[in-house]
Amino acid sequence: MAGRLKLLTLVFLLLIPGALHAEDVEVQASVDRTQVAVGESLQLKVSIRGGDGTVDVSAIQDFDIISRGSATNINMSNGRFSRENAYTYVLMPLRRGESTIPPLPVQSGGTVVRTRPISVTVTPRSEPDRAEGREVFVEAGISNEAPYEGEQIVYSFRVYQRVQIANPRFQEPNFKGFTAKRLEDQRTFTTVVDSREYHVIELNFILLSLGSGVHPIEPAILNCKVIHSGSRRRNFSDPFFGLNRGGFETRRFATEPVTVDVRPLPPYHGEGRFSGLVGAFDIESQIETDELKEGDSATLSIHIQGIGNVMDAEEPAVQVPDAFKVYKDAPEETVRLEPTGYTGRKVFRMALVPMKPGIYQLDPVSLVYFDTDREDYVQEFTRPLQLTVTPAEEKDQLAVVTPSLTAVTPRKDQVVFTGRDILPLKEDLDGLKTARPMSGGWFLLFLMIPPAVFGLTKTALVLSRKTDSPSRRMAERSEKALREAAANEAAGEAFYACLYRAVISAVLARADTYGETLTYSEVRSILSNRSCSPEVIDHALGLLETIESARFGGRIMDGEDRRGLLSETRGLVKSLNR
Amino acid sequence: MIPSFKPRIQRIIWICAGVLCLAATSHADPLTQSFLDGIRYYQEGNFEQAVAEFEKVTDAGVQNGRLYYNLGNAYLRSNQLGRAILWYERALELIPEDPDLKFNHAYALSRTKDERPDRGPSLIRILFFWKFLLNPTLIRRIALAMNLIFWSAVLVRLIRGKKVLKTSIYLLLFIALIFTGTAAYNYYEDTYIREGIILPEQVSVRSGLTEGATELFVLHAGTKIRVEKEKDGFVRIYFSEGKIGWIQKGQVGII
Repeated sequence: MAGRLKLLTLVFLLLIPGALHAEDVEVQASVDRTQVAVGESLQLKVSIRGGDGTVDVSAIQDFDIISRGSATNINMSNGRFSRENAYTYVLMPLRRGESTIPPLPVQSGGTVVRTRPISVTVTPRSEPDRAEGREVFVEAGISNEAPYEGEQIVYSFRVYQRVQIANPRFQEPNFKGFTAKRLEDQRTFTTVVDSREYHVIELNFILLSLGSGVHPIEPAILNCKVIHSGSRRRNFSDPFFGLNRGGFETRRFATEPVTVDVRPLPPYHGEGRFSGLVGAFDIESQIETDELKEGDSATLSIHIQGIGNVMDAEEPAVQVPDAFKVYKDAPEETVRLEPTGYTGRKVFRMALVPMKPGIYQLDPVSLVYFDTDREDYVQEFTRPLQLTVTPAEEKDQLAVVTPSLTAVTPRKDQVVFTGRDILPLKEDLDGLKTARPMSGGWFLLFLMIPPAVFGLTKTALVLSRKTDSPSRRMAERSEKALREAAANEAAGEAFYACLYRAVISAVLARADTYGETLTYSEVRSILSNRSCSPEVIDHALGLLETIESARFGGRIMDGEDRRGLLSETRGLVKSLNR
Repeated sequence: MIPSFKPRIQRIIWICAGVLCLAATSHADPLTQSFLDGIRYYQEGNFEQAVAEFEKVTDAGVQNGRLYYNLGNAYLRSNQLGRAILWYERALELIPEDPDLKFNHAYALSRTKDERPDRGPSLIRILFFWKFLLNPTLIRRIALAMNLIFWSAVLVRLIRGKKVLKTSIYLLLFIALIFTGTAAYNYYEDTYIREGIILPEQVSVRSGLTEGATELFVLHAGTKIRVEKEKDGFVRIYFSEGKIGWIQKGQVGII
């Protein structure tokens, strides 16, 4: 039976287009009421007769479109079918006063047809709705209207309901000037307002201000369908987001705007460094062990915990003695979002490795934060820690038995300041004498003195050497060569070279001239011209030949021979220089 | 009678000597008197008056590290941290190795609020470590000493012969050049690079030469800065990389 009915309907619908007369498209817009209160909705219906079309509602500025739908009606009148496409919109006014639904363009086929404009008067919410007559209302509040910069506050949005609501759509405000984090768990409770019992659903946001100044928070919006009390009884056990079908009214609820005046933190003049934390915190330190061996490690943990922006805590300054190597670990952060705000702890760990034995004191670590209850800066300290470091090889030393050594070595403590002050005045009257640092001019002068002395000395030497005759210089050279020969007696080649130079220099000294080498004939010529006896000339030539044959001819001479040759040369030089 | 006479004579002599000393002190020249008064006021706890007396001496043109040290102490005791550090810095240029001065200077620096610019091991500080490790006076003395030794060696070489001290002379020349160059650069720094100390408790460093110019950052008393130029009662200062601005001339004390 049902299948046959479906078949007939399908055939009917297929026949309709053919049965419809071609007619002009007619567009009409209408509202169910032209006066509406803030928070109430109205229904806009755009009907298109004689064809299909699409409606552009983007021109609507004074209303928020809550929902939309469409329907097609087919009518038969005087044996003729007509079709009407109806588009319905639920509108919520955005402000009080005269609002307008502007002409809406409807595109059908190739033509655009516009609806006529509609004026709607938006009135304030009626008093009975505000007071005891309210079945649903919303409100927003903050935990502190004048927090300090960095102080966390709680923004609460509450829905009071005596009847059931459905399809809620919550539009949270733009928390400009804050960082906002919504608490996942919503709170539900029952309360009495104006002697009427309400079921309340509360949504909470934790806000942290980004800077001081006045920050308005826009209204929060709740769009929902309110189930008429006559159609369904309120059911507290039904959750906020439950869906219920029945007689309902689409409503829009808005809270009042909230203003937060964020105060800047007062100037800080304390001793320690302000950590940037605002709230209530404490600090404590723990050391893994207070007795360890040289080279072993112990973990030092600094715990900062409390309520507030604990996640922003920076690593506190820890004064570790120089005898320790420090290896820092990444900080560990455990922060929870609770109804009162951020709470948790941040732990800074570092491994301390002592390099020298001794007893060491770790100074208290301080934390300066702004206490929002006291409205002042507070400095907290950890307790001082003491570490005893024993030598790494202590057991081995005991095993080797060095009792006297360990017994007499006193335990040494690192000297630390127990107070701070400056040293006294200098009372000597030396303080009255001007004592400038050496000027650049004087520095340059002192710098130039040594090279000047050198230059003068060199000049003097050159001048003095100019007065020396070649004869004297060559005679000196001859003597010097003899001394070198004596020193190099065992050195072979060098020995003979020195003897040769001694003889030649002595001959040149007789000639009063400079030179390095001479031929035999030149030696003979010089000596004969200088009135030397033929014996001396022959002796000199013979000696030169002996030296050269030993030097270049490979003639082997033992020590005795060399000493004799040196003595003979010395005698010749002496006679020539005479 | 005779035994009791000698001690009495001695006592009279001592009293006369004391009176003479007192007379000498009371008739000291004005600068000495101011110096002694400064010490007396300081010890009595009247630090402002001590500052005034010491400054009489400095105003007369006396340049002495010990005097500057005393002035720094007096300013520190009278809670003028900026001026205290200024005078300690001036003293350090004259008596850089004085242990008392280094101790008090370090103490004063520990009370400043601004973190000093990062002076970690840069390439320059590693390559020219002696420049940063030794004070200018010591560098100057080493330069002169090495110069003297070098030229002495060259002289010996000249007199004794060419093969004497060859390697040593090159080494001496290298060291002498290094320290002489460093000393010359220190003189250049003293002459052309002006440093100063922030004097007031807090100073706003601004973008321009007016009090209405944008505040760029804030410095506190005792912070050392470099003074780059001066114009219309303002000075342009350099604190660290990227931190440059203008402050009033009177807010900085030139070292």
